Amino acid sequence: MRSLEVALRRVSVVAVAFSLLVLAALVANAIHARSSDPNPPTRIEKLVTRLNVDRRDTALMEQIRREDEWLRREYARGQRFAATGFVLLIGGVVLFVLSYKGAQRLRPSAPLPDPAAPKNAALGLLNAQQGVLTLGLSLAGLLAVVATLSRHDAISAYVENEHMPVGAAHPPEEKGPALAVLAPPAGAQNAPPSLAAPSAPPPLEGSLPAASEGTELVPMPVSPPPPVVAADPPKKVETSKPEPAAHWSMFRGPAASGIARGNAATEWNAPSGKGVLWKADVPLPGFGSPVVWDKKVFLSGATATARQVFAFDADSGKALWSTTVPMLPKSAPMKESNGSGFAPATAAADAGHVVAVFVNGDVACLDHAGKLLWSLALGALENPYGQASSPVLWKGKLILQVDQNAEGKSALYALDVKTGKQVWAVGRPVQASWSTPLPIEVDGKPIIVTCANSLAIAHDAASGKEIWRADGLYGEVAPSPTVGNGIVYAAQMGAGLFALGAGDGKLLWTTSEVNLPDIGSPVYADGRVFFCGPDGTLSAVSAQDGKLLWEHKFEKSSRSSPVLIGSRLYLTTNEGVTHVCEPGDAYREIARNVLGEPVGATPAAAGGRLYLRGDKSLFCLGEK
Amino acid sequence: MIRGRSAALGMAFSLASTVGAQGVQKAQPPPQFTSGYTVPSTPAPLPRADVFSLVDIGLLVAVMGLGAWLVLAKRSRREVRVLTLFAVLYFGFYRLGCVCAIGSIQNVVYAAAHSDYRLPVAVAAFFTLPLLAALFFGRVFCGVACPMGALQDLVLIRPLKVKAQLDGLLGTIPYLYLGAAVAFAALGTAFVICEYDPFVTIFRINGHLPMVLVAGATVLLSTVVGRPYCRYLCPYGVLLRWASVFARHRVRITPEECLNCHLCAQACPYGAIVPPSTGRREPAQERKRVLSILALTLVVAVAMGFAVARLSPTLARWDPRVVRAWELREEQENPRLVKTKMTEAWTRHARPVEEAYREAAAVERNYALAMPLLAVWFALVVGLRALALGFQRQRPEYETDAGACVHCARCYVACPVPNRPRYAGLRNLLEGRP
Repeated sequence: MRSLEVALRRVSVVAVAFSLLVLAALVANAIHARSSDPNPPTRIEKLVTRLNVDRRDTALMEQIRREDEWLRREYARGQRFAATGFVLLIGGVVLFVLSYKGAQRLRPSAPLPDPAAPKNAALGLLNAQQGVLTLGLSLAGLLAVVATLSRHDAISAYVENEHMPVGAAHPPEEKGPALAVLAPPAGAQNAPPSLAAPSAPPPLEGSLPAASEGTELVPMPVSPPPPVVAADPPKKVETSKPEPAAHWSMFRGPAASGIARGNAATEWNAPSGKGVLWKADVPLPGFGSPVVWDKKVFLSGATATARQVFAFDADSGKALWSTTVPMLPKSAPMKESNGSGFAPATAAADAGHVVAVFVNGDVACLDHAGKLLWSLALGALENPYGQASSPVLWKGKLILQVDQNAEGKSALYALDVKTGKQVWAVGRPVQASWSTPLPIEVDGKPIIVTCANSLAIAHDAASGKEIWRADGLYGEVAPSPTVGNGIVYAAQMGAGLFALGAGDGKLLWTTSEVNLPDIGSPVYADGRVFFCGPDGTLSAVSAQDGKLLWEHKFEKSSRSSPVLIGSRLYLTTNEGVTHVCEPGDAYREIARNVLGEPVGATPAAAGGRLYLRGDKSLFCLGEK
Repeated sequence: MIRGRSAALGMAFSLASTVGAQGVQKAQPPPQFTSGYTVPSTPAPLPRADVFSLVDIGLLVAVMGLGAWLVLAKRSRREVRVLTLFAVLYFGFYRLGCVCAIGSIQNVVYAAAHSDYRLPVAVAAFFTLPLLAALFFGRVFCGVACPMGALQDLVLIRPLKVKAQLDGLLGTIPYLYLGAAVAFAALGTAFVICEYDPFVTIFRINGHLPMVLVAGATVLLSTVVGRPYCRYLCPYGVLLRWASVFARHRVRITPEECLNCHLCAQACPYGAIVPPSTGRREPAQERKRVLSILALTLVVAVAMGFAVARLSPTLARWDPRVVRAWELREEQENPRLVKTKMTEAWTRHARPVEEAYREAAAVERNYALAMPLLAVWFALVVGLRALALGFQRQRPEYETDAGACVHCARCYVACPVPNRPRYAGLRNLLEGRP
């Protein structure tokens, strides 16, 4: 019996030693697992941040993949190790307890009465009484000292005294719709003083063009300037200016809102020639949409080694001229990323000028005869896809939205379109984005509405001064804002569709329960907002409350933005099929038209015709 | 052998699961470059269907009823151990420690403070039934139905005596914890009991490393100190202690004459057996003691009240709504700051920062009201606890402390006086005899 007891005690000692060994291994594994835990992937996040600056860095991409795989392998290995150790530990502990208890049973210790125990217990309770009082007094004293010597700021004091925006210091009690507006502090110039003001925008590097660089093919008369728009009545919101229907002067039309008056072709079939007025080869590729001024259609295109602006005759499709835009001394290299192309932005035109922007941030201004008037370089851009925001030509100013990931580099520029000289520039506290500004007039005052990561910001068109901002746009913001009935609509996949008061940026409603766009922009029509999600789902929501009215999924996805021409909505998918439908309370397709070429651009409508840029050709569609 | 086996199993389960909880079920983020990733299911228990909630309630009633019969009538330690093992396996590992009577305090308080919250039936039952049982039979819930107490009981292999002074001092903590838990639940800040419950980590084999370490330490401590969580932390134990004072049917060490041998007190690992006492202070001496304690209590109340009233804005920063408001403020002042998860969620839902500020300000106002009340509670606990510890009552023999006894039945085994014959206790119980 004695030998059995000794054996059990030895077993219990061995079991304890074994359990401790396993425990130590598990602790070491847990510590090691923390270093390979993919849950806080700080190292990978840093690498991804670097990758966002230049998404073409395949070596970096490969390194991220390797690190990610290593982390996951290590993590899985650690998990297997922990599971095995868990089982071993169970065995060790069970063995220890059984052997220990067994040995105890073989030699039970007889309990001995303790005559002094009651007295000791009574004394202990008295001591405990003193201990409790001492504990209470010590705790109270300590708290009093801490409370007296330390500072205790309350958010309520901040709300009441310091920082509530003007007009919001005494907010109404009723619970209205959720608001996301960050009104800029009163008197703020460009950026509120209390905010980390963005540094001054980088200077633009301009250069005068060589006189011989414009290659004139056929001289064309310059159109007269557009009529001046009378001041709007108070509280009235207008898009930039109702251009004559003969113009489609910039990305998404004369008001950059995706809306054009008049009618355009509704049925065509390019492979069979049905509804095609003319078709012209485009010498260089690009995603920029055509722009039309009177009888000319302008396009830009580029490759890594060549950049050109083209003009076509709107009636015949004849190539009028093509002008090469030379690199400037400070031009950044021409690089594309993730299929963005070298000319992703749409050109802009007015009565005497055509402006094109290329992926590396070079800007070129030509006259309608193809003569290069001026050009400039934005310099190296910290923007993963390059400059894709299209230029806006409005009231003689060229508006350029240049948002970058580098701190202090995002800015909105206004240039004199005649000279390229900077009129104003304002820094913007946003990250890289690819959205095109929306020019509108509120109570007769021209303002520029922009969307970026993470703010929608309205600027005074005269000075660039920030008028309002609204938070909530996150991600790679490419869709441009649109306007309708005094409300600005901004959309971004993963963030939401936001309805903002055009004059004050007040959020009227928002929804994220819809298939939001990632590239294409929304368009407003008759109390509804239309947009197309990345999977090719066209959605219609109520402009009053954001409620989904209907959605229709096409077979293919679309990069093109829907446009409203007259009373019809046009949406072109990536494979070149244009769906024409009624912008009503239900999806009703009027026509489905085939172009025969992939399309990444947005249609342009002018003079009763529709212009569509395919991969290789420019099509003019209409009735013969 | 049952005793040894159950202890071994309990200890093995708890220790091993504690270490194994390093992350066996820890969720990984979706990969950066691939798709088709299946997000793992949550380790937290899913909502229980109503019918199963009724099963839980029924089992709780059955276990407590059976436990009361085994301890008070049959006076059997062996079957009690079987019940504790069942409690660990079912209410602990199978039900993942939820619903839990201890945590239900917070639900009840939250429901009382927030009219928009409906108290689930199961939670209400788990809060009420153990208290009702305690009113009649003492802390039978702790002895046989609480998985946390049962787990500690099973792993206890070599109990050490905690000195009365330390035991009395540490025994104050559950009262303070109860006050804090009630305050934070009423304020809507957090359910601290659940958040810092080491046993949830064990039962779910999952948890953050700090809680895993705390759980491991608790289990290890439980091998040598009887039920450290129950005695020195459990806030529900405070309520049960109060209810048990009124219990008519209590654990009697022996129905026969006590030998005053002290063996039962030695055997009780929970310090729940009080020795005989003949001493009683002179009235004047007792009056002086009471008055001095009351005076000190007043000092503690004033000092603590002043301190927490001043500290309340800082204390309010424990509340996530206040934390979020401060983060939003910082980001508003510096838009280039990387958004936190809370601020990103807030702005993604397009809610204005002013609303967050107003919400946080309301929380701060509530804190300004609640914290001084909590300070008063703390002072009362200190005073009343000191009075109770120093109170002397004449007692001819060893008795169980009705508030502290958890019905483990160890004293029956240790008592040299022959135990009552089987079912004799039940007959007495039915006949209304003590």
